[in-house]
Amino acid sequence: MPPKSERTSPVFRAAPPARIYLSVGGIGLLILALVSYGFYIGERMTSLDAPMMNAVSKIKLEAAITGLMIEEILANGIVGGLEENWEPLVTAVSTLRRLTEAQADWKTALLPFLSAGLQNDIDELEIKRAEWEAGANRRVREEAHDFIQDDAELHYQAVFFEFMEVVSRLENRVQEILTENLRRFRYAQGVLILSCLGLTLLAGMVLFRFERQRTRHLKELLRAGERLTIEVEDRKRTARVLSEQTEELERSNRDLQQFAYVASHDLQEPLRMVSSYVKLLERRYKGRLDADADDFIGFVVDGAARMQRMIRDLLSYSRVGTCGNPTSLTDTLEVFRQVVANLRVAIEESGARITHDPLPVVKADPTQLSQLFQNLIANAIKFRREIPPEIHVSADRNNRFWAFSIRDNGIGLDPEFADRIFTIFQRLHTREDYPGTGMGLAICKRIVERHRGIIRVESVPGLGSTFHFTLPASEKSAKDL
Amino acid sequence: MEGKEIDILLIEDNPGDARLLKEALGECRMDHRLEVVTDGVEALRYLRREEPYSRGFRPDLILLDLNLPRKDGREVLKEIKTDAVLRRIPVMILSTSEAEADILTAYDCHANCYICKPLDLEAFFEVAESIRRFWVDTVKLPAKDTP
Repeated sequence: MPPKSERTSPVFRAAPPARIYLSVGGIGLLILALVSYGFYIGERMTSLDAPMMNAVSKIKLEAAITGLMIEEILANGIVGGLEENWEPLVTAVSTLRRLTEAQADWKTALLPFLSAGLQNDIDELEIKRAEWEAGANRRVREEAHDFIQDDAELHYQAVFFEFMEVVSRLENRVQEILTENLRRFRYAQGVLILSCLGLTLLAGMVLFRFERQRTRHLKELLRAGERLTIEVEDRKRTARVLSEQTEELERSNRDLQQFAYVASHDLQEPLRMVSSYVKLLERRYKGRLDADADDFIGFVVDGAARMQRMIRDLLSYSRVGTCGNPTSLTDTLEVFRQVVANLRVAIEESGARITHDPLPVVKADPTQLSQLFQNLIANAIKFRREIPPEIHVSADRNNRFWAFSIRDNGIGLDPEFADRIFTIFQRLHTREDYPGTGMGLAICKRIVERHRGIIRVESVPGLGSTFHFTLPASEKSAKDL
Repeated sequence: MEGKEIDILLIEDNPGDARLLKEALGECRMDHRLEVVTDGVEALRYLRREEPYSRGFRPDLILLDLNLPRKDGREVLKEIKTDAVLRRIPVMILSTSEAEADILTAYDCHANCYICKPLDLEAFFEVAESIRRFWVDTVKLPAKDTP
């Protein structure tokens, strides 16, 4: 298979170019013209040469007959009636003249010397015939008057022979013309046949070359087609593998969620036993063992309680994916007020002031939205400085989303950790400073992502943080606000 | 104390939970008898005084866990509440499940109340205390010998 870079598209060169049509068509026309011309020449020659030959033969025949008639008249001593005997011969000669003249227009151009001689011969023939007629008349007259002289007879004989000589010369000449014509005709035929052959060959070559080119293009096209098919197959395979992988991923994701849920749920059971019984121990035996035992019991109680909180948070984290409600039109102002009410104690204790801009209606799971706001606002209160917290919630319409911001004036965080705070069990502070499991923001991220949004934080350490997140807008809210 | 006495049947497969409840009830200073059976089949046998429970008492209150081996707590509840004799005994569901479906099923089958097992020991003791306050001190239970 050729390398992929060679892949030019032969599709656009597959159609025969105009010049192929033009040259093959031109050659065809040329052959047609040559053949037509050949037929024309042949037609002219056969239609005129044969009558000419006939005319010469006729002259010969009529001359012989006339000669015999004259001899018979002389032998019988008949005087008069001689004139009508010349009629056929005169007609024959004038026929030849007419034919010669008819041919003159093109034959003189084709065979100048032969044709010119022909014309002269016919002129001479007429003169000789007139002489012959005059000689014949004289002989007849003299024999009638009975003063026969050898002189007249001899003269007549001489004139007759001269006439016949001209006839035979004429015959030769016509024969010559005929032969020459035939020779030229054959030659022309040969040239014609050769030209036709040559032209046909040429046309064939042109067509062959084009055909070869076309075949090559066709082959390229087929090869390109094959390559395309292979590529399509490849892509199909890739798509199949991808969809299988996606399916597998979704399945394992589901499994994992299920696992997290089941694990955290079932882990609660034995843990409840541990924490209950260790507390029972504490309740009944605190101060009745030694100080170490009390310490140890204290650590177990604390560890179990912490683990219980972690499992509870893990459970609620996995519930975001598995136990969510369908999204509905949710008024974030309503959610905000509910959350502020839930956090009343923390707000009063910290002296927090919480303000907000107009808040929209969004498409969201109301329970999860409430959890999201509560986690973020509770965090803003929890990570406060010595001054009372000031928290502001705002929302901006951004295309099909609402971009929410929750700004505080708390301790802030190093931007280096801006991503880490959203992963599970990630904490930036000790439990002694700020209690908690490190799950709150992971749950927030999961809630936002379940709503196809993103969450991020901007912060100046020591001055405060702003959490930004997006939620899908409802069409209704676009009109309302 | 008014000297009121209550007989409780606990149907619970987890001995830890059973003991914990026993401890909790023991701490709330009330006269009571507590019998524990560990699966649904045993529970129904006990209630019907079948062998080996022919000498068992008829309880004033049943504490029923939902997830039990052999016969599940929901089925036990259904059988109790469709039994002409047993259905008068109040049944308290005591389960770890907070699932709405479980709660609805329980009440649909005429459970008398539904309590989620608290994770915290103090809360667990509160439950025992509230049993005493409500089912012993407050409620008037049907007379035992009434056929």
